Amino acid sequence: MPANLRVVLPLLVLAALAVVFVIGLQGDPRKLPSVFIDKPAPAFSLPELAEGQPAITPASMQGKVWLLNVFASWCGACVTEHPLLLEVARQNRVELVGLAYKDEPNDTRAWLEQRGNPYGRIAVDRDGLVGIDYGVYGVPETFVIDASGVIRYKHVGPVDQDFFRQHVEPLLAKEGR
Amino acid sequence: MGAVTATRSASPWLLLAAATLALFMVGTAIAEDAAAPGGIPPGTDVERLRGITADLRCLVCQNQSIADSHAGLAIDLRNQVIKLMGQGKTDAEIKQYMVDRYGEFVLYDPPFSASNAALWAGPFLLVLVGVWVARRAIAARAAAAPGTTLSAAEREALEARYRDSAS
Repeated sequence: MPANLRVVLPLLVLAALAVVFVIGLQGDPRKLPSVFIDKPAPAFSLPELAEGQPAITPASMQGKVWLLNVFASWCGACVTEHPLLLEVARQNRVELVGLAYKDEPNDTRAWLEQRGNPYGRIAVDRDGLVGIDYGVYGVPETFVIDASGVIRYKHVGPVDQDFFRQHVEPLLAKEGR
Repeated sequence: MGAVTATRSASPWLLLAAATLALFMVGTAIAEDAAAPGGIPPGTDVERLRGITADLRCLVCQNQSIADSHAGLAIDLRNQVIKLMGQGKTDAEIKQYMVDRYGEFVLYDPPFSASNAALWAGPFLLVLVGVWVARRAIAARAAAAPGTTLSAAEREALEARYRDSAS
């Protein structure tokens, strides 16, 4: 091995490792690949938060593009995304279904009363079992479900304008609402 | 003098060892304690429950297993495991239930697949590369230093000298 190569090679290896590590550090380790993408939304039947309303099932949303937004009154990050959800609801851009995850219905009601209710319908997942069926591990999470009932995207954490631009608007443009 | 310094310097080491052991025991006690929250119904095969949940990653606290975690979701998932055990599901079926919902990430011991082949095979490949490099280096060194093996005359001279010194 020529002497200069002996010096340069370890440096090259170090540089390559540095690049790999820097790329590795960019990702958020809390964001996991969802196994649900392009699979039918798991079936459930949950009571509506407003009493006297029919139970909520994914089948009843068939034919519309809709968002299933997992939220809770105890969830701090849900407050962050709330104004944007209200804005989306005001513009009536997409059907918003809330999943009140492991939350006391009275707490959910009080929380929504205080901040405004962006949801068309709210399913009460008191014990979080539907959350488990949807692989929910952090709140808020938002599922984009197309008109045929297939999950097209899952967003972990507060949604932002980019989420709507990249994952909701194109679907609405294609499938209508 | 030497012995005195030795005992004097040994005691901090003993202290350190004792402290480490104590910490370790506290840690184990905490881990044992964590195995029980959420209320495990009587009649549950606790050994089996522990075995399954120790292999499942807590999604909220990623460096803990479901067996060790107090997080709400971990307790929910542990209860789900208890429920599935009660339904007579096998360990493999219960783990598949979790993988179907949370992906292979939930397993601490994921099966070999195309997407993780590099992780499984990488260390072995690196060892092979290391062996190859070492062999090349040794061969190069041997070739670069001629005369490291003795000629017949040198061996004879050496042995003669050895005999002389031994007698």
